[in-house]
Amino acid sequence: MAWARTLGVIAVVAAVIALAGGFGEATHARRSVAVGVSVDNGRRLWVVRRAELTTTARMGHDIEPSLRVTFTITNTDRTSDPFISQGVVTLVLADGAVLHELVWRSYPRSLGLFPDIPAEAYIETPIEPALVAAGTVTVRIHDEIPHLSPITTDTWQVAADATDVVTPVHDVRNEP
Amino acid sequence: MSRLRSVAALVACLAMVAVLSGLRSDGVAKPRSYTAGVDGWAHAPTASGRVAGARLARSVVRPSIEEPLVTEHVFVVIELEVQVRDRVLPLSRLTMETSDGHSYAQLSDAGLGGLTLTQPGFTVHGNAVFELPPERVPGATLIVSTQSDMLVIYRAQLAFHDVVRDDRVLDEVRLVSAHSEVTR
Repeated sequence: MAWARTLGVIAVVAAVIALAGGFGEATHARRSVAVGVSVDNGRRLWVVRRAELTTTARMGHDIEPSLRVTFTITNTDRTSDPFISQGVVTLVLADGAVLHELVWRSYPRSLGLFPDIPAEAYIETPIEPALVAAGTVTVRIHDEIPHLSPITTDTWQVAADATDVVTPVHDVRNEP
Repeated sequence: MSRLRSVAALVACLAMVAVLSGLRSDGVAKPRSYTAGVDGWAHAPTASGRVAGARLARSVVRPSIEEPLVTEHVFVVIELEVQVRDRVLPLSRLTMETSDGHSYAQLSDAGLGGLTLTQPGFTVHGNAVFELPPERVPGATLIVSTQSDMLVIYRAQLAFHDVVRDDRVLDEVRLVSAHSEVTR
């Protein structure tokens, strides 16, 4: 009888999850804007400036072929916070692959993200050149919503809603 | 029956935690501020501090870096000294709180000669540079956190109200390197 009760509990839990929408991707809104247009994601204003395929780091040394996407970011929150949460910005390649694990950099200034002070920042991620051969990358900027976690000190949460910026990729590998 | 009571007690405890968690404001106790007296010194239990200078500038020249920092807004350049007493202090959390409720962290660019980890018995002299929209400078308060550990119940900070008294914006400010000295 005990096993029947366990099975019953599992069935009830599964039914509740199914009624709540299941484990499928949550419904979300997708907006799109052009390169150079400001995107308000609820916490910051983002402007995608440029995407390029390069073999030269901003500091001037050689690197493996990399996709570099440059932004102007303005913090519209009341508090300074130099950290950009993983998943706020993702890169969608022409074959549908999504790059999530992105490292943010800033040069020559350090990235501060002070309230209402625009800052330049960029993502630089190694990439197989053929993956951007189509000439564009979609920069997906997710909304952020205020959120007070009972466990961590995070005060913002990355939402499913996002804005896409289809950005031409300039091949500057042969340029000094 | 005893097992059922235990489970019920656990559920009740979890529910109480959930209720308390929902009732709390932000989960962080407000630190106590120690403001500067007429001599300019603010005294907290673990440290005392004084603002030796507060200037506005469009560019900042660092002691060991050729390229100046330039802004379209304004740099608030603070020179201050902090005397550390009983325990080592990181002195890395300095913020500028504006009168309209915005909080600015100090710049983290290299070579600014900021305050560093300071041992008890030493006085450190250094800079803190902030970048603000000019209209938010009047009435701003400099906050120097004297928190020494992550796990603390009681937090203290030095507060310097209306820290920028001279509103002239200089073309350039040349920073000097941070240094420290034994004071006891």
